[in-house]
Amino acid sequence: MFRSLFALLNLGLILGTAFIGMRLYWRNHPDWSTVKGSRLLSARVRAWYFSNLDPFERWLVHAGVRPIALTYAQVAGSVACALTYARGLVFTAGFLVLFTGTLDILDGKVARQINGDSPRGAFLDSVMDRYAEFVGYVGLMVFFGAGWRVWMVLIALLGGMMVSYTRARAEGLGVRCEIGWLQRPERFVLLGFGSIFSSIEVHAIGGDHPLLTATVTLLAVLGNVTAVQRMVYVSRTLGGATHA
Amino acid sequence: MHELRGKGWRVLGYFVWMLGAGVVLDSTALRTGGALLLVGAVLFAAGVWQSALGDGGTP
Repeated sequence: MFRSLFALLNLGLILGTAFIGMRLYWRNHPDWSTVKGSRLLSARVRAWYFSNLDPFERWLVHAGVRPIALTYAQVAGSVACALTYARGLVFTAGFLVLFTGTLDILDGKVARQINGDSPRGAFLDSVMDRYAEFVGYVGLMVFFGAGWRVWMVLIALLGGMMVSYTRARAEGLGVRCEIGWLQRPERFVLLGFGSIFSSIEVHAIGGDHPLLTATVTLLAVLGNVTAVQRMVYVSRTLGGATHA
Repeated sequence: MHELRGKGWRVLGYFVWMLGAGVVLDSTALRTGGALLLVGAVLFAAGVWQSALGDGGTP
């Protein structure tokens, strides 16, 4: 009973605080045209979230923290996330997904601030990101244990890797490829909030994490759709370049 | 730590509160979770207070 009420109280607090924060930000900063949005995460939501990270960016730059240290912290956070999923601590794991996603944003912002946005840093960041993503999904697989849901996690993992690979390969061929429904920030938000709300639902209503199952299924479908979107886009672009 | 005044402490408080909520909901460590919830609430309130005084001001 206590946990049910506490879970519902937190649902209200998490959503209410974020909603009020967004409304206040949008009222005071009506122009977010410099931020790129997507279908699932609009430019104004991204602008609000990035603005929340500005104080930490300034503090990290002032403290002399290197971007690569944040990347390593992200990997460590992902390992912690995998362990929490594996132990069935779904709310905490969802929180860690959002936290590591935030570190992923911060390392890029800090790198740009200190002119440390080097090719070496970008390469290491990309590789570490893949390891971090893989580790998180492994924890989720251990949590589900057996059955079709493990296969869904595997397909979601494949989708996530293919989204990144298609972009990297396209950029290697000179094509800029940042299209698609489910890029990395969208994956963080879906899995993070999907886990948190699923945990709240289980504590308040019960069940075997139907919301987390739906989230993973959505990640599996949309991740691979994004990879196909990129394949088609790059094929058309390169085909056009050949005939031009 | 001056960079965190206002919004920074608010956001940090929000994150610490969420972590505390996770500990309370997911485990039996109610004291640890409760302490995190308290710290999160205090940090959030301090951030709101600083912003209200015009320090670290943008909402």
